[in-house]
Amino acid sequence: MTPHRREVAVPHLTHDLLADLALGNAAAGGADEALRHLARCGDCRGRLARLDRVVAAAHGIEEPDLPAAPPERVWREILRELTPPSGKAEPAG
Amino acid sequence: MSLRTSPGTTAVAPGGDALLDEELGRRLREADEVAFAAIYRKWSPLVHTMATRSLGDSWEAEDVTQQVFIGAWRGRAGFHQERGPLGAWLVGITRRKIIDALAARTRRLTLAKAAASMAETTQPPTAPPEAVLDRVLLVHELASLAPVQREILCMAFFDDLTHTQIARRTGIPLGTVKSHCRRGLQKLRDGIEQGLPEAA
Repeated sequence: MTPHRREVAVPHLTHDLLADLALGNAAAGGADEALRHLARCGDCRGRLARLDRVVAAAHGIEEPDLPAAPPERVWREILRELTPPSGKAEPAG
Repeated sequence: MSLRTSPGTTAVAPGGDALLDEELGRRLREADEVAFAAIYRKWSPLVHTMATRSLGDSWEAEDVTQQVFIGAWRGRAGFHQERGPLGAWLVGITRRKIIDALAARTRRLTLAKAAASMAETTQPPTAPPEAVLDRVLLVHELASLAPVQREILCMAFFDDLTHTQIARRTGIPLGTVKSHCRRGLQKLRDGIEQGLPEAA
């Protein structure tokens, strides 16, 4: 709250409204007011930007972004690295 | 480590099984090798894909994957459940190892340049390619959503359908479509932000 500002303290936008905006579903009434709030409120713009980032990432997904397991040798190397030369298990703790 | 079992045989079902993750985290702290293998089985595809996509070199990506899990085992006392879930901790380690690998690459390049021509030795800032990591983490997170929620979000993302159109197409009530989109988007946001130093 900044009582010295002339602007009336407007409640921040809800997550639901921001999510609707990010997904392009904000045509319903209230969007104008929301946009006016966004123009003034850096916090809400920041929250919207984080959701826009999700939508942008989704639009950019390419086949190589799908999870691909590493080859077997990676696990063997890990075990080799973590196994002391004696072959005994590392002491717990 | 005396573990002989191969971690690659059965895939752990993807899913936000928070209880299972908590159990795995607790057992990792107790140096349980079976839990460590299960952790590798569950997260190595994500770690490896993050590394491959940001480094673009399969040898370096394998090396980073290896370092992440070796680091997780040796640094297991540094995992604290109350500070965040196991997956986010592993993703955080992965982000740091990727930055290290990129920095090492920059140093090699700078040295080579300096040796060749005494060129400027100012190092370009080493930042991980955020956009590509966002995509890899998003795919991983999508897989952990409930199937209905995933289907609905995919329609919103890839077919650019509005809530109303999705409701009409699927027969799912509009209110349910809306809440799946809103909650789902929140989960995906948390998913792509996990392991970031400033992430809540």
